[in-house]
Amino acid sequence: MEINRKNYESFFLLYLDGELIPSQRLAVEKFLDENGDLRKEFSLLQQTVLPPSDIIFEPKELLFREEEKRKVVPFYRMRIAAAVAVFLLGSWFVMTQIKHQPSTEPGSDTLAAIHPVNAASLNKPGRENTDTEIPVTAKNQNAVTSTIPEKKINQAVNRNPVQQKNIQPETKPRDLQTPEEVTTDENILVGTQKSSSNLEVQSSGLQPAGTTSQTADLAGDKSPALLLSTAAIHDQHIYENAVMKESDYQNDNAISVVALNDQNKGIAGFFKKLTRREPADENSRKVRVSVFQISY
Amino acid sequence: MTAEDYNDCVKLYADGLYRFMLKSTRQVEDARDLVQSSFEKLWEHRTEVNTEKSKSYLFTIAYHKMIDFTRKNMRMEFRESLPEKQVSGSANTTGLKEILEKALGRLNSRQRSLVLLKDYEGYSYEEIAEITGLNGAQVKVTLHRARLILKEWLVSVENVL
Repeated sequence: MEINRKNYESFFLLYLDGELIPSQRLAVEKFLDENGDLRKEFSLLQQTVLPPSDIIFEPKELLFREEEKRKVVPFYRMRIAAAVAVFLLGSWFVMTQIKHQPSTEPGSDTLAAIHPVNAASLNKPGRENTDTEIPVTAKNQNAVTSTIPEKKINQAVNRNPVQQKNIQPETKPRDLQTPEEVTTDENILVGTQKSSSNLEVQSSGLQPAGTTSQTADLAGDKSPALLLSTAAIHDQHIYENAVMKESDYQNDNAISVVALNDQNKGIAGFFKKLTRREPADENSRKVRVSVFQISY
Repeated sequence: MTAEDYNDCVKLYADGLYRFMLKSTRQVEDARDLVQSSFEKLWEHRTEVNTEKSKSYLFTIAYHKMIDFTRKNMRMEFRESLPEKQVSGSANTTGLKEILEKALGRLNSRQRSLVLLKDYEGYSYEEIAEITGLNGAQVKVTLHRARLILKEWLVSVENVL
């Protein structure tokens, strides 16, 4: 399209905006020479082009930026950090293993020595076997249940495997739920609660003789394998507990025990409990020796 | 672009961008804020921006920020335009530059922006289209319309004088 008197305005604007190719620019300039009456209009359009401006932005420091310097950690420091991390992780692992190991060690002499209560109760005069030593491996809030042949109680009991069972001690007696029986060589009341039943007192004043009798029976070859208490009125209840299966004990993780003395106050100490297992054969009877430590 | 490239952009384009914003908003503080926020965005995206495209990137950001700002302050802009019209019609002109400065107030924001980009920065229609998001034909029509408005204003001032 060529410039003419009808479309010259658009060509003039394109010319002023620098949007024309050189040949078109020459055509516009030639058109202006040939049409002098349009030169004033061309001049007016030329004046609409804004002149240069001296506006500046100050201070430019508001806009300048610098890269944030990153801290470079030397490689040898990284190695030290890695070594420390490995050491700490290893220490944690070892401590974790040690924490769980004592309760699984069969017949720990060290732990047995820690619990003089049981040793004293078992070594009282009048018992047929005064050198019987019940392995005690329970720690705080733990109960140890060992299944041993009755005939081997006098022998190396410490070598018998011990099965640990956790007991969660309760500070509130009303919340107790346990099928367990607890005996002690002190004059105590043993409170147990099974399911939602009320707290019942099993024995008022279990004498040391009861424990003595129990221990003596353990030593005898022909004596019953299970004697938990000398209180006859509770025989039936004891029997009920005695025939409970092993799985009933082991699968119940919500056992809570509270022991009260004659002043109806909670006591802490070690307790043992014997339960009879179903005999594998006529000549081999087994008892379960459970030792508890109750602490608050 | 690197931090050094960015600082070069500040040296090269900060004045032009500020001029563009000041002529568009006619408010010094607003123009400075728009310039700073535009460079802030360039700094944030410096790793994605090619140095050769940094100027158009800057002006594109600034243009859209200015459009948003103008829309939010439409009422204020209207109030400011009234006294200028009265003054322009009655005061003695001291030169073509001042006349044109005031004539820019007769344009709408799009027309004004295109004239500024064309005359001050020398962008082509195609480049202006990229910055403003318009197509080439729209840029051409808008610019031509703006020129004619400015020409008419110049003619009217000359008649008054």
